[in-house]
Amino acid sequence: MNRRRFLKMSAATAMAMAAFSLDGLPPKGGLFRASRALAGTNYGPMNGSMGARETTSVCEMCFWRCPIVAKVRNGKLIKIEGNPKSPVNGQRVCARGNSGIQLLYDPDRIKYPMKRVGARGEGKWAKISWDEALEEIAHNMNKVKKKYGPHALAYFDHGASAENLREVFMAMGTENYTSEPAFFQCVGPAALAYLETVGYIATGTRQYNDMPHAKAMLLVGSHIGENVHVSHVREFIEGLSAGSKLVVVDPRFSVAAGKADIHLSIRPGTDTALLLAWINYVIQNDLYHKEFVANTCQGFSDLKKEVKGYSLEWAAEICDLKIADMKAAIKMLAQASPHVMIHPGRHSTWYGKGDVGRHQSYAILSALFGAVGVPGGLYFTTPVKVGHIECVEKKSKAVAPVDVSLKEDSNYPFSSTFGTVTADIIKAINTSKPYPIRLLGVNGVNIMQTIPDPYETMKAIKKLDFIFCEEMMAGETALWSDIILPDAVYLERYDGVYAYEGLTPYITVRQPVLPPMYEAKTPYWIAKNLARHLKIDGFPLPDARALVNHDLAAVDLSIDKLNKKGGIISLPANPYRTPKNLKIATDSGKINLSVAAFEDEDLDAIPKFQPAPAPPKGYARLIYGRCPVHTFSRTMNNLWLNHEVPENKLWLNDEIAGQLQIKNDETVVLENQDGKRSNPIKVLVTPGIRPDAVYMTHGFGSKSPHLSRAYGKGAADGYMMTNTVEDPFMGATSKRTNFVRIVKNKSILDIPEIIPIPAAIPKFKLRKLAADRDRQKAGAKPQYASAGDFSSKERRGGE
Amino acid sequence: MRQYAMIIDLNRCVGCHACALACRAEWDIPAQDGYRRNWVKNLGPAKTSHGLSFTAYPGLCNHCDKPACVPVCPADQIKKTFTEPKTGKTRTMTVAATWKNPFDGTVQIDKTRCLGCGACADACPYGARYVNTNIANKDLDGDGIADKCTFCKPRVEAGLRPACVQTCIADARIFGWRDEPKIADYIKKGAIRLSSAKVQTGPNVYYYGQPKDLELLTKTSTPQEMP
Amino acid sequence: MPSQHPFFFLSTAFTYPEQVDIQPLFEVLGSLSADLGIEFNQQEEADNISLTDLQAEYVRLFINSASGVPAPPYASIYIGNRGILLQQGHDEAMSFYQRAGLETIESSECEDHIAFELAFIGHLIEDGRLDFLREFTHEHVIKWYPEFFQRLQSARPCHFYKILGQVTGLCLKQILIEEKADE
Repeated sequence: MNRRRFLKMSAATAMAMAAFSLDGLPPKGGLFRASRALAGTNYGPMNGSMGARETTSVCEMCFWRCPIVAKVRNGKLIKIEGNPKSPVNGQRVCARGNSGIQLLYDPDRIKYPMKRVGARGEGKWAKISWDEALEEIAHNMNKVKKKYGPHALAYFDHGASAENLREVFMAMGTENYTSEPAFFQCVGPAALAYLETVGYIATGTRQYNDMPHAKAMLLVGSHIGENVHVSHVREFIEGLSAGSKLVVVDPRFSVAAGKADIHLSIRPGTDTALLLAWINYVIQNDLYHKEFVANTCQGFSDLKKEVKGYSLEWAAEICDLKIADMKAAIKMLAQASPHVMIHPGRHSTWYGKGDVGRHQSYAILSALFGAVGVPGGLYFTTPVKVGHIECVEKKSKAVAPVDVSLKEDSNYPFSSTFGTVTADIIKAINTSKPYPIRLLGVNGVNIMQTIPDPYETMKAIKKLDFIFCEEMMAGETALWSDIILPDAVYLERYDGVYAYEGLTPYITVRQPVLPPMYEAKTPYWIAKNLARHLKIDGFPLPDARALVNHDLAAVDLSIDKLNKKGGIISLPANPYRTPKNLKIATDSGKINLSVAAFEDEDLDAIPKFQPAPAPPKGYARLIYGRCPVHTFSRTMNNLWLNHEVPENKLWLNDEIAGQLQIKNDETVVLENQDGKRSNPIKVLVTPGIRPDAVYMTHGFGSKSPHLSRAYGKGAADGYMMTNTVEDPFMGATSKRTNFVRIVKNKSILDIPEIIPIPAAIPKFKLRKLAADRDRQKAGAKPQYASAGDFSSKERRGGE
Repeated sequence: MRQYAMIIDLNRCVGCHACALACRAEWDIPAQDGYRRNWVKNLGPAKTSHGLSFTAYPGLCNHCDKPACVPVCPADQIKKTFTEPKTGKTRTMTVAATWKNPFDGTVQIDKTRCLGCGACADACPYGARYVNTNIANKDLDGDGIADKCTFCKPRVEAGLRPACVQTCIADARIFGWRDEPKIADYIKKGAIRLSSAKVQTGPNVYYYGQPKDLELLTKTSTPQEMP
Repeated sequence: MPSQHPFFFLSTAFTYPEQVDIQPLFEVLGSLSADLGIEFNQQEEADNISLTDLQAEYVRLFINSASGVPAPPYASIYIGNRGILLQQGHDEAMSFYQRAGLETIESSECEDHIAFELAFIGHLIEDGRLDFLREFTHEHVIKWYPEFFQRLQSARPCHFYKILGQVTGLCLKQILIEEKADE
């Protein structure tokens, strides 16, 4: 074979090539050189993961952050397992933890800094250098600050990668940071209720619930098992295996309900009625822990008086439950006192009004049973000391003075403790009141799917002068961003010390298993360099490794020392208290059965039942929950996880399905009370959901065509949430106040009302129904909430 | 002959799919339809004669006493000598490209001699095998290579637990010798196998749980006919 | 002396376009396609597209796109149907480079990127390592290029990348044909 025979080039081509190389570009691309490495690396498929190099780290497939070991062979991550030294998960990781490798090597990862070169939302990008990207962001931050003031800058953040950049926003003087959807759209009301009742946040990012030692447990609307936080599920299963009784209150037959002794299929929106009736029953029948209540609680006589009217008979009608079942359940719980776990729940933004009260009611029940600081009850955290460096000095992060503050002067007396209300920021963008917000930084949040009413959010984004995001995978936010920064995946970075203060305290660190791919950078590097472009003093340490070492040094540790011990050290726990050394950290020094701080703000000191409006005729309430294989809307594009569970299903009561002639696995569309329609979704016909509600798992139905595998698979609950009610305590936004009916083959099917609604519960008043009906009669298309909202016209701002 | 077996305790299982993903990761199985050694099928919520059930069918190769997949293999028969790791005892048998190990009862595949014809996959009443057509033994003119759960034989021989057992977040999977107390006790107290009148291959994966969950599991997942 | 072999040009053309003047890129591709009997009016095409448009098109096709990157240019995605980076296809490429005594320069790109593989072919031809060339093309490149090409064409690329895909495919085919003729 003669090499000249390859590709007979014409003289013209030879000349063009010559000119091309003269143009200063090496035609070889300079891509190869003689190998300097020794030959002999054995590439190719291997049998199993045994014998691979192991690095300990911390998972971030969800925020539970299990300690892990990552196994690397030939420079490639081949498997993730739990850290055998971890006291919480040992060698176990969940489906998502196992699939971290697919995130690391996903071809849809954001690989380079990019800037928008088309219209906003069109998704037309060019690669730019880090310097250009950061300069562009810095320029816009300065410009917006100069024109509209520091508070015109806002930052939506979630997760471990968000903290460093938050300090940059703080240094700009804005009050609009820590506006975490994770708080105002999730744990907020529960956290506030526990803080004010028992003096600490017994449920928040972490949950301090001693399930392994409980003799009875109560779960209300919980998704343990479907919501997989490994150690939490383990604690639940340990408790059950040790013989704990279990009462589950849920309009849906959940995985937990499947393991329950008693399942109460309650009418949605009436949980507090049941809880108050139980509290009353416990008091009236002397089932409470008298000594504990007398010594440790205040407000008992007020509570007794306040709940007197709530009888089981009354609750039976409100909640659509049998008196005998309710009685059996509360007796089962009372018998286990004080080792009874009234689970404080987690996601608590259900109905807006009454959410804080519902969680207060759980806390009150715990207190009445003396189940605080004892095995099987709420337990106390064991503070774990580690250092903490301020990357920007505190004095440089002072909030700039403002006439009317979005944060401090909110309509919600308890919001500012936690940050600026997410929904208020969206409102401020749309109305410029109390002041304009014109620039948004987004980090680790899918703001389309996590903030209720994405239509308002979309409107807001279009109004912004500038929006940038720091992300690993392009979500819906990235699609709308002006600058996109590629974030290192959790397996590629140091980002902090992880201290666990629960039943088995430990200290561990996240460390890079491999260097960042492409041009991704660590959150610390990004924040430090953006600060440099903004000429903000700070970020004194060279890199995130130094930061971790700094924080460890405060407790005489270092990364190297920790690694010698298997990447983690365990510490003794102090979760329980004797009656003598039980100290409650509330203002009153007692557990507040009645919360004076609420009364001071003209809010109920003791919860009252406020019925959430019932579904209007023809509609069912939309409820949602978790899928164990996915984390919110973040993992739907993960190749393995998508392959495992590619879409969600609509749970539809079997009797309703029968009447509407809908079969299992049939595809339908949902239309909500405001005429918004969902993507198509398959139906699961089941007796495991009440006739007055439908259910789907959250996070599917992505409208970001960027998430190629997740795009359009299943329906998104978020896009059905156009009716929100704000919780009056802290402004958290409700997510279970939306109603849907079914559209099959283009005709609307009303959901029959099988269970009568008592007069005491008002029905939701439809707002625009008449207008919509007229429009449909006239043959106009209904308002689709599907990909149409992202059609190219609208992407160019044509809404 | 001693036999490895697995218990899946549905009272502990939450149907989270960690087992299926750990298996995929450990053995680097492409995410294609039907390509898996280990699977989870969530069942229900559905009515049973004992009330509502919402459970799962975590499935894998049953390493049957009388495997239907082994006799159908058309590969050339060869003499193969098996060694018991502990005692060093050996036994020589005539096998095709898949066999039941005489010392641990696991059913294994010789990947270097598999023709990828799919006869074994078709013969299994549990659908536990698949043929990976991305790879093949070219020298044998193969069409692919059959694959299935090995009870993580290489791991187990190295003193580790199977990948699915190790990762199970609820400790719902128990692996060991069928006559070991940790397994035998479960069988004694009522763990069941997915067998029916016509499917009597003697599976060695056992399921334990509430009567309602076992009823839903057997109703939906026990094969009623041999393929 | 810089090499003249077309495979080096193809390699360069499959990297992100950063040169201010894109005219020469189009000229060479035009001339090459003419040699291979593919119609490509390079002058008109070059006049109709700006550097920014070409860059945005490159990003859309090969880096990140609003509908999921349609044609990730990596062997790893296709070989063994893995769908993700740095799997078997990458191992294969690395193993060939190592056997040839070559290594890639430091780069933020994965080494099984089409640009690396085409440059590697260029080196093998230059160095006259024709047995090795045959093995690399047969046992590796041809296992994934057709599917990559098909995904590229389905993404309705602009003319430059459409023609580049075709020209590259024909050049690879040429290797296979000449090898056959040799036997």
